[in-house]
Formats: sequence, C-alpha cells, structure tokens
Amino acid sequence: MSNEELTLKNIKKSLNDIGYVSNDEITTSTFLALSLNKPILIEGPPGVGKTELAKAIAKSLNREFFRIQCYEGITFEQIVGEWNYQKQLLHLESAKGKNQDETSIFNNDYFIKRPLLQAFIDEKDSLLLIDEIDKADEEVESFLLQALGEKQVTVNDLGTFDLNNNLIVVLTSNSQRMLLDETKDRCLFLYISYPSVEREMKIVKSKIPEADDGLIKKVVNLVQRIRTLNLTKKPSVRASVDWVNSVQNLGNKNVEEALIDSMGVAIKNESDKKRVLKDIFKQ
Amino acid sequence: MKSQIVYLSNQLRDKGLGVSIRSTQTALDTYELLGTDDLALLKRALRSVYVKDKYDIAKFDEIFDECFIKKPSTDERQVNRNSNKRVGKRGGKSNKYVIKKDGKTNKKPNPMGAEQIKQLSGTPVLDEKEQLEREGEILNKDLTKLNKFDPRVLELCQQLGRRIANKRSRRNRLAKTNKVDIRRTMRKNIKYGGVPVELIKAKPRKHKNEHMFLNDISGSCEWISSWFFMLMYSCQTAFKNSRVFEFDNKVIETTDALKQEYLLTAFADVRTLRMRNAMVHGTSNMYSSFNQFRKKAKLNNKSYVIILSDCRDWAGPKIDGIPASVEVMKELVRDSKKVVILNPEDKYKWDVVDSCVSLYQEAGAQVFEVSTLNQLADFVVQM
Repeated sequence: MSNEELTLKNIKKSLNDIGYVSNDEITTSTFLALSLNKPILIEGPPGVGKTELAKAIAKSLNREFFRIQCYEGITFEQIVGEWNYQKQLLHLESAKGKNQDETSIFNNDYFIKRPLLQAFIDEKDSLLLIDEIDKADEEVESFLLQALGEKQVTVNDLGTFDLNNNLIVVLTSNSQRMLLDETKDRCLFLYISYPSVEREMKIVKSKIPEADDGLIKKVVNLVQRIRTLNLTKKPSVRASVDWVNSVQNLGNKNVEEALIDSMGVAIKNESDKKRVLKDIFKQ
Repeated sequence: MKSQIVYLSNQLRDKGLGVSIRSTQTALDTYELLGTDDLALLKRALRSVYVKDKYDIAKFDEIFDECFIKKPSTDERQVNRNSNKRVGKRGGKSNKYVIKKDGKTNKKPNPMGAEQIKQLSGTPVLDEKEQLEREGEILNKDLTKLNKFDPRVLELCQQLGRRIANKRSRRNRLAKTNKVDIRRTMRKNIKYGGVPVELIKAKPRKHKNEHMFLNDISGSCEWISSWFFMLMYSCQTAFKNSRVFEFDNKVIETTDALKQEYLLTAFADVRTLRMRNAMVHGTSNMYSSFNQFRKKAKLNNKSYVIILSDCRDWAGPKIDGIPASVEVMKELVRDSKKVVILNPEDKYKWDVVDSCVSLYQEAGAQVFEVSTLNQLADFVVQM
C-alpha cells in the first residue's frame, strides 16, 4: 500500500481481506500510526486480537515481520543481539602467536543480531511487534525508548544503528504492570476491549467460514453472558472460535450437551467452570 | 487551528490527563491530516493520541465534546430547543463556544449496582468509565482511605494477587535454574586450558520456610486487613506453607477461609468468624493477642511472621509506661526466623501518642511503611 493508497477505507478493507475484522477505533489508530509513523501501544485483555492485529498489518502491507516476545528477565542481549563468545574465543585462539589486532573481534561478524536490530537494519519496510511489553522489566522498557523515539539503537563497542526502513512498531500489553509514562508518551494508544456481539460473530465466521450461523450466534451470546460473571479468567475471542470449532467437531445432535462437554476450551479454571455450570447452564 | 488543539491539551491537563508537548505536536499533525469534516473520526484519532489509560477515555470524550462540538446556550435553547448545531472549522477558535458543565465535576458518582459490579471484572463500557477512578489512582491511594467495600478494589486485589503469584513462581523457577556453580565450572573446564567454555548450573536448594500472617482488625486497620486478606487469597499458591491469623484483643485463625472456592465466599467466612468471636470494631490488645498467637502458631526457626498493624496497643497492659507486648514481641523474634511489621500509617505518625513502632524495632522486628496497595503488593513479591 503506497502513501496515496493510505486511507481509512483501504486499511479497513485490506485488514478485512486477510481475515482481521476491524472496527472504527482500530482502523483509525492504524491509519494514524502509518501516516504519522508513530509506534502504537495496544492494550486490552488477553485474546482480543492485539497480536493478531500486528500480524495482520504486516501481512496486509506486505512487510517483513519481526517479533520480540517479552517475559520477566528478558535482556538487552535477547532483544538487540549479543557477541558470539565462542566465535570470538576461537578467533583469539587461532590468532595466538600471530600479530593480529584484538579489536577485530568486535565487529559485525562476531555479533549475533536479534529482532530489534534486524528490524532496524533490514532494507525492506518492516513491522516490529514487541509483544507483552508489560512482562519485561522496566530496564528493558527504558532501553527501548531510544528506539521508539529517536529511531536509533546503540550497541556498546559496535556503534549506533539508524533506522534503514519505514518501520512500524507495535507494542502490546495486558496491563500486568503500569508502563513508563515515557513509553506511553511516545506511542499512540489503542484499547481493544471484548468485541460487541456482532463483531465477535463476524470474527468467528471469518475464522471458521464453514460454521453454522446459528451455532456461532449461540456460542457468542453464551460467551458474552459468561464474561459478565466475576470469573478468574474470562473467555477470550479466541475461546469463542475454539468453542465453535469444538462443538462442530463433536458432532453431537444436542448442541447444549456438546457445549457443556467442550466447555474446557473456553473456561480454564475449575471454580469458573462450576460457576458457569451453575449460573449459565443452571446445573 | 493551533489554538484549538493547544486549548484542548490544556483542558485535558486541567482534568488530570498527562499531556506532553509531544502529544500536542502529534495532535496538531493529526488535525492537519484529518481536518474537521468528520468530527467523530477526529475524536477517535485524537483519543488515540492523548489518552494513555483506558480509564481516561470517558474524560477525554467529554472534554473533546466541550471543545469541538457547539452546545446551545440558554438563550439559543429558548429560541430553538431542538437545534444541536455542530461547530465548523472556525468554531473552536473562540472560547465562547466552550460551555462548561457547572457542578458536573463535583457530582458524586452514583453507587454501583450489582450489574455494574459484574461488568467491572470485564471491560467497563464507556459510560461506566466516567464513574471509575483510574487503576493507578486506586493502587496508589492511601490505604487508610480504602475503608469501605469497593468492588474495584476487590478486583484490583485479585489482579495484584495473581501478578504476585506469577512473579514469585517465575522468580523461584529462575532461582532454581540459573545460578552458575563456579567451582564445578572451573573443574569441568580444565580440559579447555581454563577457558570457561561449558557452564555448570548449581542444583537448587530446598527451602522449607513457612509464612505466618497476623492481621490487625481493630477499628483503624479493619479494612486494610481485609484488602490484605483478599490479596493473600489470590496469591496463596505462591506460598507453600502459610497460615493467616487475625487479631484485636484475641486471635482467630482464618487459614481455612483461604481454601474457599470463591473470594467473596472466603471474605464472607472471615466476616462470620469475626462476628462469632465478637471481633467487630474492637480495640487492640497486642499483649494478649501476641501471646495467643505464639501458642497457636508454634513458631520455629523457619517461620517468617508478617504482622499488618499500625502498632497502636490501645488496650494492652503497660509496665513502667512501656507496653507489655514489647516483651512478647521479643519472644516472637527469638522463636522465628524474622518478624516483619507492615504499618499502613505514614512515617511521621509513628511513635506518636500510643504508637510503639520504635519499641518493636528495638525488640528486633523490622517495620515497613505500606501506605498503598502497590507498596503492599511490592512487599509481598519481595517477601
């Protein structure tokens, strides 16, 4: 999609074409992120399509896709890259007795590039997904500020890398911890909540086109009702898709029975299961 | 145009949203890009620029409407009651179009109904957000002010508890697997001429610690202890051996309530236990309750005692003006591995009137200030 083709309508259509059911909020934020070339921070409960949106944007714009899956304890080395210790060691061993400059082991050949650096130096336009940033430590988040704001990455002993392509950065968060104000300030913000009944039905239909409309409606309505209960883990959109799939595959004549039998795909906790059986299925 | 965006930024700042110059610049770029032909689109776009927290969405929408959508004045309303014109491109440049809603900000939120409580555990719908404080605000609110049942706090305690459990289990896993045994590594790498090519990980050590929680439920600390209980309920899986007690002038054990299937049932059980033992709005007698606790808990050198209390021994006996509970505290410290007191009071109130923080510190207990839910959660993570 070129800059001239970058319109709200086109974005919505291209997302739709590859199976991502968008809404006005999502389309507008995506349009802004692309037009203003700003990172976009997506928040929302698990399983509402945050990661999927990043993938869909990359696919619809035909961009290289890089992903950093954050977790507690993730380090600079796993995000940017690390020195190839064994290779450096071998080089030094082989260079013993020869008059070689030891600084030669600190160049690109001895550096293993990880997603952030790869996304920066890639010649082709790319999309970098920093998934579940809230799980990473604050030090990592602070390190990313340079990349998000100034479009540069600095590696000690190797230098500063400038952005080589039209990179879009998408960050997702489940709000497990408050992100730094500096990070939020550099990003556009998009909150994706659980979808409306209509949108959820469209999403399920786009994932399982062969599914019966009546069954989709039944499951989606059920899931929406379950979400109003005070459960430990609410069923996600992914769960709706899986539930419809499971009921279809069970092939029972009695849909109600099949729904109860396959409840485990949507309800992931024993106490939640009991509550749903009692409050929704009246058992 | 510039002035309209700057005005919007200022209005948002006045309402407590953190709006930086960068955001205003981005908003200007957005405004130039989209214009004002489609106000709904502009609103959505500026929302994603200005709002950084889901609970600010309603606030933003309200202020945007005040700045960009003309509302009829009282006179205009008399002339044409049905008119609801929108402001065009020039509208926002003048402040005369901005009609503030008098008294709106001071209006107290309506009490929440059962349906809303249910909704709270999911994603609040837009009009509900208006009534809600931001998550961050509640987490950093003075604990002593969280003194009535608020479903949002209940929800947050659950969330915090789950996070604590996750963090602690990750940390434990990491501690078990990620330490390098230097001695064995050196021995292993002798064959490489001393170059450390292979790393040997240390074997995990088994810990058999037990945690004893003793919560003060006298008038001043009742609700704080309740929130702490809820926090502990949600992260109990992270503690292998733990027991929970409550005290005012006597001690009850509430560990069994933690094993209830639902938090609310557990909470109700604790309330019933308190009622049955006549422990409602009681005054604290730390001498008798610490003594009872010592007998019930059977402390040993692997026990950590965590006391949540403001250290105000109202009804306890005194010897030469010093509370007798200090002596019992010394015994608790001697019998256990560590005694930690979490004090919800501000530090400047410590040792004032009947607060005996320093005396307990001298007895060997460590005292920490936990005045917000965040601090409380941080402490439990580090524990």
